[in-house]
Amino acid sequence: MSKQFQFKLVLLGESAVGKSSLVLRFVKDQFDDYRESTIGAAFLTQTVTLEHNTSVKFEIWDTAGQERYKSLAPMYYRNANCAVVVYDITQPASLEKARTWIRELQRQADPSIVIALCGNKGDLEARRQVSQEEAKKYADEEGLMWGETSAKSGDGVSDIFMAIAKKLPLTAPPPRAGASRNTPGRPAVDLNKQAAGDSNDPCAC
Amino acid sequence: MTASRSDALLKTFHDLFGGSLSLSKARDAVLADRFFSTAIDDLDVPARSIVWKLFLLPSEPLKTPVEVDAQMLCKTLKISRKQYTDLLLEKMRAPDGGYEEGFSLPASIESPPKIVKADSNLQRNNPLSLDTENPWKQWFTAVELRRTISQDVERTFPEVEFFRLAEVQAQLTSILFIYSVTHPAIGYRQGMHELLAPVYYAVYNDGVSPKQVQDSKLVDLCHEDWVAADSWALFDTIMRGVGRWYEWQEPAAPPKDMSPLSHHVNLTAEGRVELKAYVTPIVQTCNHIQESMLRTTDPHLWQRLQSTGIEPQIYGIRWLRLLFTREHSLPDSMRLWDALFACDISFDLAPWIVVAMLIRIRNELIPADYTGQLTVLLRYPAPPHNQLAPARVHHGSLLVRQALALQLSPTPATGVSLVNENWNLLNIPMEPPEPAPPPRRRPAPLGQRNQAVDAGAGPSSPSRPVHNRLNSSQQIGFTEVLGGILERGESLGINKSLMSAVNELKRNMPDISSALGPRSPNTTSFALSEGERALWESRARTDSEMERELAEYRALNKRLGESLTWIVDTLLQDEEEVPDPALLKKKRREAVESLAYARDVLVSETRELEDERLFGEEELRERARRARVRRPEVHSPAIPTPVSTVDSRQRWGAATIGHSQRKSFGGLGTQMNTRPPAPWKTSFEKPAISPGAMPRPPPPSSSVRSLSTGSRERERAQPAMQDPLGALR
Repeated sequence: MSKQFQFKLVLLGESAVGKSSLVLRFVKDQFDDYRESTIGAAFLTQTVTLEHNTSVKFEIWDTAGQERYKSLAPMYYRNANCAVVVYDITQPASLEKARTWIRELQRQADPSIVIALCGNKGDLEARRQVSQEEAKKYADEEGLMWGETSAKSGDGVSDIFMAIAKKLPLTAPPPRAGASRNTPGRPAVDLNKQAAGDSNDPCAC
Repeated sequence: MTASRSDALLKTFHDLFGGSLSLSKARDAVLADRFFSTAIDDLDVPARSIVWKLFLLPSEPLKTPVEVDAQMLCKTLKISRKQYTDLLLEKMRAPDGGYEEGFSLPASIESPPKIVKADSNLQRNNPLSLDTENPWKQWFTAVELRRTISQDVERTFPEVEFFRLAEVQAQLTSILFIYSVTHPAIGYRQGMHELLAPVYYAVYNDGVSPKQVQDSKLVDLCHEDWVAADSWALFDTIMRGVGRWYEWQEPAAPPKDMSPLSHHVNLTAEGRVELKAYVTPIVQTCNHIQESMLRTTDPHLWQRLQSTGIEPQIYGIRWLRLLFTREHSLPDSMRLWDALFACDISFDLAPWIVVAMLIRIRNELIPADYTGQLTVLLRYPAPPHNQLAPARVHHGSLLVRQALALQLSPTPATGVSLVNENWNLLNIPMEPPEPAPPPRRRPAPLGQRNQAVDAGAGPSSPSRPVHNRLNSSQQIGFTEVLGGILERGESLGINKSLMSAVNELKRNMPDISSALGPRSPNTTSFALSEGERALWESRARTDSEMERELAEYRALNKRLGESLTWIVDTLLQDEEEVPDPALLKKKRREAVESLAYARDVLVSETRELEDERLFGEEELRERARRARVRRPEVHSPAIPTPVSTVDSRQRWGAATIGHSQRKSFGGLGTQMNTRPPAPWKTSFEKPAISPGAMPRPPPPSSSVRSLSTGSRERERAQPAMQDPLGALR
């Protein structure tokens, strides 16, 4: 019998660092030179398989990067199990923005949230302005996962999501994504959540 | 510009200004898809920008133009072009009085003169000065802003080659920059670039030079030198309506002694909880759309979104901020804009378009779970390909007409008329797809279905999601809806629609026996015949299943009729005549549950009935007793019952019926209620309210209403307005 776990993952980071491209590479293994900017957020799902017949389904919220939309971000990272905070290795300012996001997550998000810091655009090595050492040091200090990726070439993309999947607590049944819908002031029907969860469970065969 | 294109432009120009066309007639023609002669899915529509200018650009104050007047429009444009030039000169100038390399003004070849500024205090005015008054600080902010804007402009409509041109990108950036520095309260936000781009595209395509076209008025209106200035003027007008959805203000800084966690709830000194007042206008609008507008026009759909917990801003932000450009293809969006600009430049209609768009995809939304709903909302399904009248009806402009109807009469009846219209014109089934009945069609294994969701969840999924994705939550739907009905007063709307459906069912009973099989949502292509078409009429089907299905439906209708008879009996029982009011209360509750079940059966097109949910406990016992007397045994294969988590059936746990009765439609149908009819019954069979006393039917939401079946809509609409039982309030 295989086991499937479902987690809510949110992508944060400055505009144009490649959040949507990262997700597109992870979910569909594609890359476009031009990607329209995300307005609000996009929602995608992807399942990865681990050893021992265990699979992890990510419900991915790909958010808009623009600073001014920050006021809306809590809606997306509320009850998230994991967050990928992306910066652009050619833009030092984007790492600063990533730090801001991480501070906000540490303050506001679920305390058990798994945070990964991700330096994207690894293919632009010639234009690198953020050294690996600097980013890694910061990640270690904050207890974050860290990795570099290139959505364009695909390098490191699945690695970072796999690493997150492995780090998530698979021992106890994780909260279903349904839990994230229990927003204050909107009582969810318990039975619905239960049933919705069941319908997503492929091992009901 | 090619010769044929300039001919087409000239022709439309003469159509518009040559005769005695009034502005309102022009608006009507555009709204009804009767104005442009180009193919409906064409991106390049000659003279589109002229029409937009006519609709959007304000004429002289206090003067409402009745006639379409090119002269006046030219005058307006002249003013706005000068404004744009002045703004460029002012806002693009560096503190040393110069301009960035490559800067040019419209309609002039030589670069602007370098103006020597009066402020020649080099202590303060130099790029490296640390003086707080240093004007270069502002300049660097402006440069940064332009960089941010161009970052988005570079990736505007990646699939349209036109927007990759450097010249186009530079102009778009300048326009957005001028807009954001003249509206500091809003500034630049992602999304604006995608509002501007289609405007620029339309104006650019109509741009002419005096060499190409002789008509001086047309040249005045569409001079290629003024493409950017005219686009700015149009964009500015659009933003006057749409800008509110980009507004956002920094929340007031919390007092220093507050913990960072309590951003939303403040504890005052007295320990009282104070809620922060500021809610972004876009969030307010989104909440209003779902909580009020959708709720009054499609209560069932609202209930479903409510029960899964969909937050309206998740889809509303993008839909409204971009005026639906991501939800439809670019040609379709511009068609929609044509109609929208024709009838409402305040953009108060846009939220109603959101509602019309939700109603259009209700078949996908209603049976879906949270993930499924999100997927559909964030990747709006492409329109069905088999449109019935593609030459006459555009699905985008139809949305605007439907939004107008909703705005004029926000009632469930209008919602129903939209569903009707979508069925008639776009061939969208009137009911959500039924779950596949287990014996005949096996649903895909659960794993596969999940894959379907995943595939559809890709960022660019062009095809309309298939119906079979969603059948996992049918029974959940009922229990939730039931819970909702019992808990909430707003169930009224749902019950009303049920009553209307029931009345219709009763009226159509004789037809059904002679009609063909049921309308199946899976057989969707057929040719539209003119004139009336009954709801239950279906396209011809020749397979042998038809006969059986018909029999099943007849039996099902009969069972539902019996159930409704009992429900109505129960609900109309006078409290004073009953010895035990508590028992009556319980029975009424059962009746409402059964009513909800009957509604669910009708809505889901299922053919499986659970008898025990059609009647109350006492009635079931009575029926079981009668059944035993008449027919000692009925054997039919037991169907696995979907387990309902709020089990409304436990109350009859003692009764021994159920499995033996389930699915024996025909058999039990013979023991139709033998009791004498209730005293009110004779009067109820006739319409309880005279047609004259009925509320007005909803206004037509489409100019092509002749295609739709007016009388059927009235049949649906009118009973939806009444509550003959009065017991559901």
